[in-house]
Amino acid sequence: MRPETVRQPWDAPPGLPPTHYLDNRIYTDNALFRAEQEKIFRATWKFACHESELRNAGDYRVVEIGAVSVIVLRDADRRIRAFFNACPHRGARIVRDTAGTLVDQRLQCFYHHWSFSTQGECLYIPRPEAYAGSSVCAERIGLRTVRAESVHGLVFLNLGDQAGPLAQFLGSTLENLREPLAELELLHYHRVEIRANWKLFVETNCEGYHELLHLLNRTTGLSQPAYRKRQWHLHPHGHHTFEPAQIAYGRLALGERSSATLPGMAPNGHVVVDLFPDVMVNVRATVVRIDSLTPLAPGLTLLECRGLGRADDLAEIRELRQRHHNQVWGPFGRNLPEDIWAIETQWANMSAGASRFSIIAREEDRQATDDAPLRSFYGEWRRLVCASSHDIDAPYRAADYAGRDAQGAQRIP
Amino acid sequence: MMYEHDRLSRLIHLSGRLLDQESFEDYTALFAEAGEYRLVTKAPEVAQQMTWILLNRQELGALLASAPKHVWNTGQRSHLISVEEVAVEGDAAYSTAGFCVFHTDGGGATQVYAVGRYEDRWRREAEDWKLLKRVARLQTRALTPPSAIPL
Repeated sequence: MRPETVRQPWDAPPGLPPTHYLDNRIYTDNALFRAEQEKIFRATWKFACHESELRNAGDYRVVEIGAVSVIVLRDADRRIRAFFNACPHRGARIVRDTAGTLVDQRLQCFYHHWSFSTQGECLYIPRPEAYAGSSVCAERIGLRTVRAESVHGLVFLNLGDQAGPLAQFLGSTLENLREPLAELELLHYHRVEIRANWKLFVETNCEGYHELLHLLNRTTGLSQPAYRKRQWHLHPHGHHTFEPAQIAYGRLALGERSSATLPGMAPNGHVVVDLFPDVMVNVRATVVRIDSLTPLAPGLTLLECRGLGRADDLAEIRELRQRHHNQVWGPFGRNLPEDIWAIETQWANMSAGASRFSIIAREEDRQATDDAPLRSFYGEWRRLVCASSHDIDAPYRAADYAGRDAQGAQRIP
Repeated sequence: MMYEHDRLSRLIHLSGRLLDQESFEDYTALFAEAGEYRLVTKAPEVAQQMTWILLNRQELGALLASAPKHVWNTGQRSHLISVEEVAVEGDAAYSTAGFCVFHTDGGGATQVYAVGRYEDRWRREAEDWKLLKRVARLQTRALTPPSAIPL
């Protein structure tokens, strides 16, 4: 017989340090959702697309950041620029599709035909004489510029004017991926709306414990003692890297990834980088996956998944990379459907009030199934949103969490 | 010749029924040893054609055999297939068919899951016609919920 223990009430805080559990209302609260849009997505660097999506001058993509529609394009001088997708005249969307190539290197608003250069300058206002004597003239009007920078082919935007440069934000986080990310182009894209809060998907990308969910991961990864010792490294600003490991694809009859490996990658090698707030870059020897998120509502998230291979691939190698990509990833990959189903069930329970707290208390010396990356993510989340993650009704005081963010893990300076 | 057209039409319908019934071994057996399944769609967001599934028969069989060990929210699927064209030339054949897949969840709610077309190449083998190549050309891109089971 089990010794008698007193079970704590299901809705009571779990008796852990405040860094080690979460008030599940952080996923469902409308005010917090608005604060995240303002203080995270509109204030920090946000991944937008890969440079290969803007191959030629005039190529553009439209992305949404913090509910703001943004045009990112390659200008006539081949520089990547970004602008609010809003005409300064009356606010109409200038570009109404998601991607394309500009005609004559100019953006034209469909509403009153004001047009702009790829540098954002107003080129033409129809029948301008009616503005004579006013301050309205093409020379004084332009599109609202958005800061755009790229690193290793990844294009980032920042809606705010206060943040430091991208290099400062990323620090050394992407250093391990310098070689694998060189000279890539898109070979896969899909988007899916998930009925769950965006942070729940982020969590699937930065905690290894849930690999138990995936037949693929528990068979080809966690089943190896060496894999379980694989370490997480925590970087400033809430970024993480999961150190390289070998994946035993053969254990699931998925073949070997010993040819066409990307530069800097070992055969069957695997590297993961999580960039705060929403990006995961995942390299499985021959192919790269980049996930990014657009929160649409507390319980609705747009997930975009990109797969990348070498730009100089021959057709046969490209097909091999697609095959490898699709084994794990994509809407018909083995893993994504499992992650989505898991977090949608979490969301359903949390939004119904049937689950009050989440436990993120695993401490394993930063090894594969340690929750340190989650605690690091929420450390940055608290810092930016200025809210308490263990009790959203409690006033946020950084001191309550001091010294505990990195508990069980060592931060990289 | 009419017999061959009917036989191929029945096999196309059968392919959907076998997936719906999760008779995966029988489904895989519809493919020739050198058979291939490919699912493609257009991604207007990046102005490219995407290949979302690319499996030879062996890989298809292995994926489907592992399905019970996975946690996919496949629900109950129902294929509705309309054969459009069957062209037979000796021991080779080509066919096209429109398909619609309905998804019924645990609560009994049914929704349209995916719409597309099959473009099939067949080869007559000793016992029957076998699929040399199936291209499922998807119109639907938002698949909710996603599942690794082919359509």
